[in-house]
Amino acid sequence: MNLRGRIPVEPLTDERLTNIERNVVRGASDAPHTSSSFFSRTTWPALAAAAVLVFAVGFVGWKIGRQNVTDTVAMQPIRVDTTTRTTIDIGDATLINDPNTQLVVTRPAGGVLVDMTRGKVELEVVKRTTKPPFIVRAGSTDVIVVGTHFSVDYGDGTGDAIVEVTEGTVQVVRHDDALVASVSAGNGWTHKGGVVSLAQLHTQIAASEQHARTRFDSADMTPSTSGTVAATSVTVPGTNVDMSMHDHETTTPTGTVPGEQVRTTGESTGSAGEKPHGKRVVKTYTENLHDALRGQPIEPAYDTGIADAQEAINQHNKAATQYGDNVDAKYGETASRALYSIAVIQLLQQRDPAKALATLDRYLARFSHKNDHPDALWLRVRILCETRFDEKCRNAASVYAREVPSGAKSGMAEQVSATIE
Amino acid sequence: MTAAAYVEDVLLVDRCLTGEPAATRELFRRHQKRVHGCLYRVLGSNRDMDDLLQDAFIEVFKSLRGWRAEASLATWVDRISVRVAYRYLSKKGRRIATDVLEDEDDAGPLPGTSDHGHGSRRQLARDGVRRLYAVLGELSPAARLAFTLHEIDGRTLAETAKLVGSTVTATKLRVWRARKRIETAAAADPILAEFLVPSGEVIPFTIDDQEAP
Repeated sequence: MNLRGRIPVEPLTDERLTNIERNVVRGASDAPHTSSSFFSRTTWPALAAAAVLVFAVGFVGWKIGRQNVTDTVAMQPIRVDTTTRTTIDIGDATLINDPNTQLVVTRPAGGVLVDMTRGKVELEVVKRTTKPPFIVRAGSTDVIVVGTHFSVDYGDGTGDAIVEVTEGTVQVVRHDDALVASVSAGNGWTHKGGVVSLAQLHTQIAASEQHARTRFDSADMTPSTSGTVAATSVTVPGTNVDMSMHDHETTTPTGTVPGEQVRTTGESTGSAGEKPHGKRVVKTYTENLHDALRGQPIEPAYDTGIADAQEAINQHNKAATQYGDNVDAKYGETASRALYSIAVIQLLQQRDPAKALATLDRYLARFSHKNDHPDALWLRVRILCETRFDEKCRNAASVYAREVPSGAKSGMAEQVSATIE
Repeated sequence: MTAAAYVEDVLLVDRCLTGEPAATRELFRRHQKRVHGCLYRVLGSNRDMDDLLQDAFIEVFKSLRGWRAEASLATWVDRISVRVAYRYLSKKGRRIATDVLEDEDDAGPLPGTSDHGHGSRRQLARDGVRRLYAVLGELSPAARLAFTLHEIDGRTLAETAKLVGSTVTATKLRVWRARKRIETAAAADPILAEFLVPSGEVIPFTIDDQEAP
């Protein structure tokens, strides 16, 4: 009798799940809470011991890695000096660089150091557990990663870095003033503002115009020679992304990333684990959130080259029908794109949100993992939350946050769904 | 449990204890799928699942101060969920379990499966599951929990014993008795017997999404 894995679990619908989640959150909020935290009772010593263990393992791993550094192929530096948006997969992380970004990726002793000269990079890092640290360095700011999805915006390379975390947690260490902050998912960090929610961060950025893209346009594209990897950061002329292999002895990545510096960082993080600098901000409903929501772009419809909205829909309908009628091919990306595009045209060109919503419902009933799925979910949030944050809007936002757990939109959706409290 | 996971759990629980709704949601989302799977395999149906999941998680949040971090948060959450399932089974009695899967019957192919000429075999499998849960409905809640957690949910005897708050020996005995009871029922029921010892190709019976690659 072997029954393991033979009884399928009937999944709950999104609606049921959303309701359950809401009731649980409501029920949990009725449970007594006190300001004295869990730490105040018994766990501090154990937590401290665990933190010491984590960093000891990390440090030992780092040292061991240093001994084998000459054997590591992955230590070859990757230099990026790009005028277009590029994606680089370095195995244990994916880097998406904005245009006009300059950085060098080295692997000192098994760790990863992304040394930014300027620009913005979004990273998705595989959980590292006991591997040596993954560090993004933007000037005097180090962002230390365990395994997460985040971005670092270093602008033109002269100001302060802006960190946005969409998944997991990172530690931010500033060497100038020995500042340490723990930034968790849904939050961002700036030197001035500390740890704030992503929506607040975006509002701050918009207000101060620090994040204006125009600064990139006027940025000097001459490769910088500053930073600890100065010797390796000279860009090969005419090459946007240089991923060629170099002799480690001539590029000396380990020599340019002093172990002492990394060790100091590790120690700083230890204290960060015990005393997180920032606290997650619980967002309440504000006009700003509404504006921020509207400010998020909608993925456009697939361009058929036809100006007339209805004719464009007909063209998309043809594609959708063609694939929809054929059972074997009904899972095609084309059908997904066609249906999504119809919804976008109905909303943006025909100004008929009800129709668009009906199309989206058709889409979501049929597709759950296609490329356009997150965009369809977001479009639904935009339609339902256009005027107010009511029950339907919060449901849609909650589904989006659950299905698309990373990204700025997700943070916003999370906050919209939290307006029930 | 790794030290890093431990720290993560502790930080999340701490945030929950300060009443942060985002943390509550995070904890729920992190454990919801596993708890649902466990409860589903114990009960064989999504009937009353909303209430059960809510009860389980609300009890988790109410008891959060009691988590001593001796076990991982996941194990602790599972233990509470099993306790909720036990209460449910005890309160509802044995009749509730006999009608499992009836509402899902004849609903077409199971999600995640495509019909490649296996219709009748799938129907057979479905009937087999229904009959299995009918027999499980005749067991005591403790025996049913032990059997489903060990034999269907795939947990070890030690883990099952921990979850049901019993000794390994007692749990082993309950599983053995349940198995005997099912084998007796299968002797008189060819469909159940066929399901318990599937012959030939095993029909894909997993839940994925609704799309084929």
